[in-house]
Amino acid sequence: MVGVKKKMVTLVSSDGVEFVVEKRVAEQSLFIKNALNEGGVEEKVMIPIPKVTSDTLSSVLEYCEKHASATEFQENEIEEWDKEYIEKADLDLLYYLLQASYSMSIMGLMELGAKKVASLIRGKSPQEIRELFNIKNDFTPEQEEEIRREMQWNYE
Amino acid sequence: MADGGEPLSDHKLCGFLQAVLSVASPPTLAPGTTCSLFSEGGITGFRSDDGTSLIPIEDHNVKGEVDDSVVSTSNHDGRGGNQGTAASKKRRRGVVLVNGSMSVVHQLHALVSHKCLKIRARVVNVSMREHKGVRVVVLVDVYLPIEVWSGWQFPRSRALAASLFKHLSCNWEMRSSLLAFDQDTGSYHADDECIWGYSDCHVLGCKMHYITSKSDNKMLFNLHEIFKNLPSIERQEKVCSTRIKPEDDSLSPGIWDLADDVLTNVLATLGPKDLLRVAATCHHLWSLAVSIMPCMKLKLFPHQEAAVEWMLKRERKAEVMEHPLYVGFSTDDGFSFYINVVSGEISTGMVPLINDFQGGLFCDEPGLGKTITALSLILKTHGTLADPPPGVNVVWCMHNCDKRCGYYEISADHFATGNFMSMWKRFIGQNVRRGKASSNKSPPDFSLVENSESFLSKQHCSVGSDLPSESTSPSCVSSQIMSGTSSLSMQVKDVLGRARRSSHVKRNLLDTFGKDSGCLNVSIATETENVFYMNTPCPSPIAMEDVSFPRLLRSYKKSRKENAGCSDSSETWVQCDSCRKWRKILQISKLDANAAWFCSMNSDRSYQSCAVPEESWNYKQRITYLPGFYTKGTPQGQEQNVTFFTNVLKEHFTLFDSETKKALTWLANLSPSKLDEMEYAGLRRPLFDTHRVLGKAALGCHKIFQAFGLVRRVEREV
Repeated sequence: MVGVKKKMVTLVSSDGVEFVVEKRVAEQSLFIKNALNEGGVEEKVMIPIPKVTSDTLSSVLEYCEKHASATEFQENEIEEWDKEYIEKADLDLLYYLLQASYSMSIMGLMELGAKKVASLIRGKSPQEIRELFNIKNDFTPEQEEEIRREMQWNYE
Repeated sequence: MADGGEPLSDHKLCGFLQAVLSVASPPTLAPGTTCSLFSEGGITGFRSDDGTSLIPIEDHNVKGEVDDSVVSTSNHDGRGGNQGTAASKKRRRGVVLVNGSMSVVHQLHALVSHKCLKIRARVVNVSMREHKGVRVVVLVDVYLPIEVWSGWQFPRSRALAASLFKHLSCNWEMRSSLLAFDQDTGSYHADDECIWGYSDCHVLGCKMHYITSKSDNKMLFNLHEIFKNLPSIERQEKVCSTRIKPEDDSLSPGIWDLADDVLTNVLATLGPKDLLRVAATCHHLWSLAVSIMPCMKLKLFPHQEAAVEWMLKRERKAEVMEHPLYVGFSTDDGFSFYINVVSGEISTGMVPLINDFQGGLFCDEPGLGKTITALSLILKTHGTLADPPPGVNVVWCMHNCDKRCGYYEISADHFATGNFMSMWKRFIGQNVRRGKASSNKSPPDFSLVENSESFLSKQHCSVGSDLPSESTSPSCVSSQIMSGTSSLSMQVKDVLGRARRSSHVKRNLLDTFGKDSGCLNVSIATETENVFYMNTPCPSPIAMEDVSFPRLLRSYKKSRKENAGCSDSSETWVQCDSCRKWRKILQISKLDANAAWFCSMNSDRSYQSCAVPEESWNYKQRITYLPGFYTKGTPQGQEQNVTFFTNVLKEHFTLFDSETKKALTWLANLSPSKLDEMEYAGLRRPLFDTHRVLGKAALGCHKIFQAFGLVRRVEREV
């Protein structure tokens, strides 16, 4: 036998699309890593990823691929890439990415997404935040008054 | 007293208790036998109608003490002579209150003999045990006069009454069930265990004095025991069934799809301020934000989170709550009243209310992480400022053209009347000389840093971007209590003046002095060639009621005309309310004496920031204009005054420096009415502060002031 045969894993998104990726890429996700360990190191494993659509999964795998080979890059190079990566994601994709990274336990991606959301929130008034995320204000007027009083100096 | 079965006409039944007594003879007592109090030969007890004496249970450990206290409180000279009256008198003070487990029989006797209340006593239970004797349970009804509802108070022995009332019960159903034994003669409670497990107070089923064994008595003073008995907060289980709801009913993906863990992750990366804002958007985020300590990588333990929550609650606006010392009672016919269980005051009608205070004590066992918890509180409140005290007007103004600053004035004197704004007199430093009243180092300014806290707060204001600065008006001795955590948080370096509860003491010197200082009459003199002499143009000693700036200015201008020599005398100086630096300003017209002024409002571009140092005082420059003094009541400009003044200054020539000059300038600027005041009041705090802060330099002017007969008033608070 010549060369090291790369171990491949097949991931199946919630809408049935199959993704064949290297094992080391897939193992960026703790969820997959655990699944692989449990099932023994078999080739051609099919791992269904529930709740993650193919669009999101491809984006997630893009991240995993980059970070699986992180050692080949400079530290700041990865950072730059991360920044660009999350920058181009729109709000909807951001939610999906966060949700996917949570269900697949990819800590790095989750942190990245959380930071992005936080940066969107930063410096905005409660009303602006509500508008941004389309959040319903479910406080009663009395509660709102109470909150307003509490953060009076800070409110506007 | 116990007078048969008829209800007392002018008294109301207010409560009852069951006392346990011992009886020497075998029980021949029928249930319902009425008894009355007696006291003879040092023994206080009940005597039943048929002559049986019911006496308090002998307890050798407590007897002596109990008897003493009874002797003293009931003014009965007794206890059979083995203890002199003198000795018992000595013990009199405190014994009643401290010894909470004094026998209730003695308390009742004392109170009845002081005409504080009336009682009716009936036997309701008898229990006999071998070797232990016979115990009798007496139901004691306590009656208060009807006048309670028109303001009657206990005529005396209030503390004693208070401790008695702690034992009283108003459970009228229970009382009638006890009296039901009247019918079935001879049968008593089967369960008499509690009768034998009596406590020192001799009240049946007393919860307060339950710990009676000898070892437990010591435990009462054990800190651990005390803390164990303190009520603690119970952490409310979070109901996390809520979700973020979309504004419209769209099914599109949104933030509401995210798991709570993800949201927590997001929130944890936010700063305190943004966290607060996010929390204010909806319920779900609010509840998530509660447990997040911004800027903290640690996850707090549940007990720490609970502590932070509690401390936050304590820091917020104090609530009005029911007075914790008042215990509510109700008569058998439904009238309610409240008795303070410490002082014994009776209150009827509404529950007495008390204003809760803010802050509290945060005590935990060693090693439970108090430091982290306290730090979390600081981080959590970072970005919020304290509520202004009730009744103050917050004045908003622009700082640096784009940042809003708010401030309010508060004065100790006027707190009650709510007259805050009138207290506010902006001092516009109108300088008489070239040079100026400068910075908080200068005597004329005297706006000395009161303490490190206020200093810090000032700093905050100056940097504090869009945050308001609170300021208190001059003569006010800081009337706000600063809670510990915030004072801490203020010291966190970049807090930027947003501590939750901070108190700023702002002192404008002239105002301070305008209130409580005054001594010599002052007139303004000119000076040529380094010699001081009286010229006396000046704000002549007309009675100025209230010296405000424009007045000073006018009089000043007047003097200028007369003294053509002093060309630079009309400079106007303003003190920045944020950094306390003095700035020379060009357009006086723009000044509003009622509003705050900040460096950023300066029209002179080079001095528009608080960071710019104050214009220096060139103290090499000759004094060409300096006020002079003359004794009160004498005309101005007299030879002897000039000489005196000159001499004083000459004598202290070596002491002259910028500070001294400023001080003299300041003195000269005082209005006659202020000076009159100073005569009585003496120099006040500022000089003292000067002395403290400036050391030697201040000493100079201090000496000169002393030479003029101005002596620092002895401060009470110092």
